Amino acid sequence: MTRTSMGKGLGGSPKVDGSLKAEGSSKAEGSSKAEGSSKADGSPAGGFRQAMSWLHTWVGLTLGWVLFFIFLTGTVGYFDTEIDRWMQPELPQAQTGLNSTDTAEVLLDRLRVEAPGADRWFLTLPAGRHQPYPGIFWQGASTKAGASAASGELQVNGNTGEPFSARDTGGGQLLYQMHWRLHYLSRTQADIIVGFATMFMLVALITGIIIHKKIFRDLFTFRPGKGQRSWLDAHNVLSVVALPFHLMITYSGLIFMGFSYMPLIVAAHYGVDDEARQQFISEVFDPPGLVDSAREPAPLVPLGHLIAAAEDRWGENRVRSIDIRHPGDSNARIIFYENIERRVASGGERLIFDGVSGELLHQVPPATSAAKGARDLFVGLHEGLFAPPVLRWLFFFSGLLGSGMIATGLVLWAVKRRQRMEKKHRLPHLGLRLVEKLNVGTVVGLPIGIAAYFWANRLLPVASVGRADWEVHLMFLAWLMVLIHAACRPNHRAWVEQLAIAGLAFGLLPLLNLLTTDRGLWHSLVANDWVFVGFDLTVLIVGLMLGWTAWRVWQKRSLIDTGEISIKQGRSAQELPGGQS
Amino acid sequence: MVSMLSSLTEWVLGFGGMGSLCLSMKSHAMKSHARQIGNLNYRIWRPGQKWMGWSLLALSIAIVVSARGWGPGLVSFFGMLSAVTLLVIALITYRPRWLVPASLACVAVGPILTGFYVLF
Repeated sequence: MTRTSMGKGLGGSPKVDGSLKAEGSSKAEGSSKAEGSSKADGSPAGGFRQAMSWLHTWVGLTLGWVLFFIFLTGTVGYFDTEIDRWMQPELPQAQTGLNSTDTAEVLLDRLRVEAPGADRWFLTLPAGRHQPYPGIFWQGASTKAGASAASGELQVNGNTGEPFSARDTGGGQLLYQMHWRLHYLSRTQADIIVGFATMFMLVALITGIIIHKKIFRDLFTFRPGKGQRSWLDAHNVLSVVALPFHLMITYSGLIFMGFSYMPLIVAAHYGVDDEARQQFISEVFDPPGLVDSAREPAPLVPLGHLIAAAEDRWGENRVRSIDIRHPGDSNARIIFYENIERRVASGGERLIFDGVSGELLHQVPPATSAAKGARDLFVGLHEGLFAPPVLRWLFFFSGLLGSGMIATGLVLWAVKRRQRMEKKHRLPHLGLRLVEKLNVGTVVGLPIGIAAYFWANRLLPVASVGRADWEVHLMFLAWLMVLIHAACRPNHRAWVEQLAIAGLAFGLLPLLNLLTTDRGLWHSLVANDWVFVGFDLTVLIVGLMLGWTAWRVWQKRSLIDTGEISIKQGRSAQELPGGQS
Repeated sequence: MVSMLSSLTEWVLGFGGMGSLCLSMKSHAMKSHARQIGNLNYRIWRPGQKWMGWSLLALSIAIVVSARGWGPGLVSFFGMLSAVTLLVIALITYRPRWLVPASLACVAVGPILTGFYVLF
């Protein structure tokens, strides 16, 4: 950063608006080349940059809308359990802090009633944010012996031992899982699409860094009210400000599905059939020392002193879950999982006890090898499960910046081409119009869909059949309607109208919550129910911001349709009213 | 309450650091305080400001890593850095005059908070 290199190009001397304007218009030519890489460079690097610029543009555009979907739903997923709780207002406040031993007893009693003769009992203790309520899960129960189902899952009231009854919903989990399951697609299809999208994202990030010559010098530069130039500035700012996060989240996203994308590495050592693959998975992830059932009944050891031993080692209330294999069999094994809030890498320590004698058989450290340790670190960084509240907000906020980066990139593509078309007095071609429609219908349409998901949660009758499915169907139907709306309306009108709809849809959610439940904002404030307060306030703020944006876009047509007016009135885009703010 | 103090110190140092780095660039600096100090001692104190910015950021990393350990510490640092940088950009864009007092205040208060953190 030499002093001499700082003179020009940073918006020049800002004291006179006129000079900015002049520079802006002289730049319109140069800046139609992406990210300030000038054609006049002359050096071989110029050609390289140009190639990278081309790659950045097209890799970003092709799957940009999928990437926006992945980023936004994933971002919302940082508050998955909070959204779960808002979407089941029948449940009480979190039951964290109950005594582990008592809770485990309560859960065991429930499992004896619900799932006799099961192969596996799984007890979830209310260990914190990720698991606010005690819960059970079982597999392979015998309905002949009186089990309610062969396998099942229940949330249990830790104080009474009764199962909670709450409305059927996909909750925040479904919204979160959408970002790699893409909801309506099969696992394989979704893996392929998300895999390509993630790879494209990584390429877009790296090419973006290459073509953005002055990453640090331009870091603080944002020039509003200058059409295409402002969109480029915004795209750069949103990308660079959270660049470590963007790189981390994209790279770790690839790591997640390494076994799916690079199956041959596993196949080389284990073989290609499903069984071999299963063997690999169980060797890497399953706790050691598991054995088959001996088919000889033996009483299950009382959990009390095992919990005491685990808490001695990990600290009070730091047992996350207890996994009992073959309960009531002489080969029973009990696996204790440590809570995960203390380390960045995913997973904690595991203790494996004999389920009859109570003897400690194995202590498994969080990572069993350096490779798995590295994988766990990236997975842990991606999921952010360790993050305490402030850091969780920063993760959420960084995710929003990432979504904004994709959105501004998409809009920039369209604004740039529209400006070029209009300069040549040509009508926008079909491709440009399609991109414009998809931009508004996705960038604003997806948030409207998410709001519709929340509205459906409150408005669908609690007892109706398949309501959880319909919540999601309504989300995608709402999004589809928004896309149709975008196709029918002029570009600028579509942005304004949809932003206004989105603002109302989010901003009115607290009111809807007040009218349809007894847990309105005021009640939650008085009851210190920070999850409900947080949700209501967040959607209210999001709604206000969307509404404000709608109003601004309505005022400043030039934000979206650069130059459309200017052609009619014979002026350049930079001279539009409201150009300086 | 040490964790509150360490977070506050981390943020104050981070904002002071990023604000100083932003102001160490001529064009941004001129936007923010040209009329207050002119170009008088500009050449003397701008390079100093750059070093000041980097040192405050380094200090911020040291604080957060010592308070939370390397893993969560660095994650928290980068999250904080995104937030304060965006704040600095918002200020230099829409309220350039406010950036000087705001970052000067952080530059002054940050080391004091660091002292408190080291002592307690």
